[in-house]
Amino acid sequence: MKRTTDRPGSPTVFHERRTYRRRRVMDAARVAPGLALILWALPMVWPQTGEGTVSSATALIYIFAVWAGVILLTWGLSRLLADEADEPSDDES
Amino acid sequence: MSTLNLLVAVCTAYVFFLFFVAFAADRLALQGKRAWLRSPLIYTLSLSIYCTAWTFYGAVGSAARNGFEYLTIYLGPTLVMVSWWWLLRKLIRIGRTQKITSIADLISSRYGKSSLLAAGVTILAVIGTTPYIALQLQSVTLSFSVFAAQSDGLAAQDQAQVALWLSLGLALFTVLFGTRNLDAKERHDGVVMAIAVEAVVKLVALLSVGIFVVWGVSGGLTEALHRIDASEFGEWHTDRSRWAGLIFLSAAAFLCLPRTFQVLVVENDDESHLRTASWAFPLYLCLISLFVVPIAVVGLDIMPEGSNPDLFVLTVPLALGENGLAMLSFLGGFSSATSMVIVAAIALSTMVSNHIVMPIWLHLSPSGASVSGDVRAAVLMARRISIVAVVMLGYLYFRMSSGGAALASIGLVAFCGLAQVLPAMLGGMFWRGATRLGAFAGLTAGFVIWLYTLYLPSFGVGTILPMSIIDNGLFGWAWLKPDALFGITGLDQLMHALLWSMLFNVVCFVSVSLVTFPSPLERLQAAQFVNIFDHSTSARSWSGGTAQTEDLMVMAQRILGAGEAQALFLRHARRQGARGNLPAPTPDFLEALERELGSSVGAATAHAMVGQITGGMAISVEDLMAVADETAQMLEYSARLKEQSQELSRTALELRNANQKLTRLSIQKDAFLSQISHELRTPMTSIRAFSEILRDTDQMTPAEQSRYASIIHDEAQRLTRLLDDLLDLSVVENGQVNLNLRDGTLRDALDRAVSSAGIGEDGVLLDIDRDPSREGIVLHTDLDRLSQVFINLIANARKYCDAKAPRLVIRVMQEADRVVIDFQDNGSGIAPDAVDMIFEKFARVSDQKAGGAGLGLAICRQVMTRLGGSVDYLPAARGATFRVVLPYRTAMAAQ
Amino acid sequence: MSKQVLLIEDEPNIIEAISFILSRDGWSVKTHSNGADAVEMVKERRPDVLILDVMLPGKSGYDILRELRDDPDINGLPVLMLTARGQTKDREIAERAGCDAFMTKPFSNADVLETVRALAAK
Repeated sequence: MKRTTDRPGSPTVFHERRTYRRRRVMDAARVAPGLALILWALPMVWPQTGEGTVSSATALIYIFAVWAGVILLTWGLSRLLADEADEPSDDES
Repeated sequence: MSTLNLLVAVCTAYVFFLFFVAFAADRLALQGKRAWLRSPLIYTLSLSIYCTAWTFYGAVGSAARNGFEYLTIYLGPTLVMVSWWWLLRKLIRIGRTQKITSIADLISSRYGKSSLLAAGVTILAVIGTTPYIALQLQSVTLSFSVFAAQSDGLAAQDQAQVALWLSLGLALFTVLFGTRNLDAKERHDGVVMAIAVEAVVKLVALLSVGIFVVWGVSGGLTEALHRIDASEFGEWHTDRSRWAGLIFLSAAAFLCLPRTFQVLVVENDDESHLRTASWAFPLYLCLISLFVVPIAVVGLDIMPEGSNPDLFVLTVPLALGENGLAMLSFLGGFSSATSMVIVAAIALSTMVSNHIVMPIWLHLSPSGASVSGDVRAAVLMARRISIVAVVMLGYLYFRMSSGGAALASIGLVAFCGLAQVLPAMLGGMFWRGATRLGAFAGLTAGFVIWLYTLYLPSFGVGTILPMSIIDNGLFGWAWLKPDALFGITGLDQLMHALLWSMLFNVVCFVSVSLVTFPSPLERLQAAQFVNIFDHSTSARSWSGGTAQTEDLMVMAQRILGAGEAQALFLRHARRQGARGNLPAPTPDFLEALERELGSSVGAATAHAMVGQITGGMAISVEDLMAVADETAQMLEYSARLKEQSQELSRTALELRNANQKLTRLSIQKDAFLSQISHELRTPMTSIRAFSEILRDTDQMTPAEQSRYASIIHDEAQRLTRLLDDLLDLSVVENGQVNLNLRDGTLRDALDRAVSSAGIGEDGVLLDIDRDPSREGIVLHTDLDRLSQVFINLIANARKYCDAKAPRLVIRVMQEADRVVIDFQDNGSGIAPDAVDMIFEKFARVSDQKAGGAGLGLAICRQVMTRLGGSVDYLPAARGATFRVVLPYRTAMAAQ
Repeated sequence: MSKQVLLIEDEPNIIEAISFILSRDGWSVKTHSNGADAVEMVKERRPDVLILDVMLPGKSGYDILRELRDDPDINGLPVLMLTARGQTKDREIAERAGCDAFMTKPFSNADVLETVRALAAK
């Protein structure tokens, strides 16, 4: 995946701050699936026998809570990215 | 009315409702109201095509048997949707800009439009999807039999009947709404709308059952959770490798399944819809899976031992007397099954007709693709036949597997098979070094291992793979046992197959890609896929036609060379009447350019190159340059060699010609000097001799005196004429002549010339043939000079015509913008090697017959040039023929 | 019997002038204006002096002279060559061909007469 760089000839950055913010949001959008994957991979390291086993109900609540969190996060990110989606810099990936 | 009959009635009504929805949507689309049809919500709902009857019914069954494992099937796609920013956005942009019609098309397009790869992926998809369609048919017949069991039961015969009618109905629906138009973008508004409606039905049905179970049966959320803890679920334990493996597998399948690819990429109407779907579809999946565990727990609780957990969604409400709820639940399952079959049939038929039927048809039909109308009809027909074939194949598979338990596991087997496309797909999107051979090697390796370790064994031990192979391995080699490759045991069969097939797939793909070299078209496509965002359709990044033309110019210069490219562009700019040096990229111009380029790099590449730039597609100019440079270098090298040798021989020839001409001119100059000397001295000799006689001689008779004096006089005049000629030539040549322009007819000029030159001093009469009727052309020119030219030509004929009865034909021809006068005699003409010398000064064809100084024709030519016309010798004609041409602006036809 | 001069020349005015000058001096002048049969004419007439022009229709004066010199019968005949070409190159060619005297046109009448007399006296 190519990192965003300021290509020569790309439009001058007028709103320095906004562009910077936006790039970090894009970073977050890239990282989000990794975060979700890690959270959902956690159940694999839960002890399956003996002391400290996790009850089914707890497991169910955990997984669906992560799910809800992921949905909210994605919703937020997509809103932030949508604001300026029409700007040319949107296409830099 | 029995339950079964009611069921059939509800089913029929529902199907009619779907037909209506699809029909109405198509009508709206025709009226141009697509914006409303294609909202982000519809797009999100259509993605639910991923959730089939296998997940609708099977999730609860899976939960009842394997605990939380069913969740992985939904977590994978959720992860994919969350990865929208860097993964799906790119995939959809590629699909839109490249006009991708299916996953097979995507792979083939990325790897240099390889038809072999396309066919391979298509076959893989058909093999993987057919059992899946069978599974849908099975789920519908099973759910039918659940209701039938309540009344009179459903015989096996009737089950087959149900499946058959269902197949036929689905095939009809798909043909009707799936092949209405042959749009390049392959969008099906009616179908998508119907699927969105079915998605709502599925969700509502499952949620209703879930809510009923939690609040109606268990008595609230807390109680339901207690119930779960108390049930067989008890504590969290899952197979870790399956947990990870299935998340990966379902994610891969979400991307690679033909039907999900169809709705996700092909049917996508607007990239921004993805932004909504990125969170809304995970929400849908979350809701679909929310009540699966409670339903399974209650089912296990209240249903008798040994009842099929796959049907709990249906049987639990029935057992509790909630017939209405059961009916809704049945419709949910029915929706899941039908929508899956419809979309899968569309996606597969597109692939089959585009990548298998059409290539064969084009190959077989003698006229090829020349008749476009024929091809269009053939494509539609191929697609309709493919749809029916795909659905019927699913039905046959269902009949042959006789609805056995083998079907239940086929979902994951199919996932695993289609996941083999993933490395080639992702590699193609993110790695420019991925090559066609690499993709082919990876796909083949993965496919073969999947077939051997998972697909064939899935038919049951001993059906296709003999016992001996399963026990002892292929050829008796234990390390080739289908369930324990390389002696790795202890892995679950699915994970075992997934591990090895993906491992070999990726290794082959990467390593073969590293060692092979892609074709130019492949490299163009690679750049286009990987750097899709650098240049593609952000609507505003292309600023009109000039930018494109500039890019075309840069490319054309690389291939044609700067001079020729600029000349070509300038020529077209002039033709278009453009102000600058760059023409607008009109179809005409592009076609011409493509032809020019094609002559250098071949038609296919030229087409691709021009297409890349003008299609507003994502190819960076640098990428094109790389390819163009290579071609240009080779072309340039050979062209330079050729040019050098051509130039050498050309120079040599020019030198030789110049040398010859110089030599001839030098000889002529010597000859002329001798000649001029002779011409001057001869009259002077007579003058001197007779003047001396007159001076020195006494006793001369007056007659003698007068005679000698007149000789002196004549000879003096002869000298004067000669000197006049010389001066005349010099004046005309230096452009110092003043033309005396006036009006007069051509006839007058010719009359004058004939009377003064027609009869020579020797009295020989030249027979002159004229056609005075055609000579009445009014001229505005210097008639004296023109007569001088005519006199010269007539005198030449008289002097040089060697026929016994000399005859000169003078013909006048009036053409559009000029007057042509031909002087043709009946002599032997001028020797070919002398022809190009006769207009030179001092030239004379032979020494002996000369009567002048050899200046006549040289003067004629100069005079005609001054008058804006020309005089030439026509070498092809019989006899000596001179042609005088006058421009028409100095001539007007006599009124 | 007066001595005979044969004049081979194609320009009628020059023939007339030379004939006039020589006949006044008492020569018998015969003329011929074609190069092609000039050698036969010479053999037939057996003149005492030959006046030969260079540029003749049919055959050049140089060729005629060469033929005469190659013929043992008449190779002693004195020859005066006349030419309108005044270049030294032409004089060289004439002397190599074996002429006894060479004159460039236009000439003085007295010179012609003197030269013919000198040649006849040889």
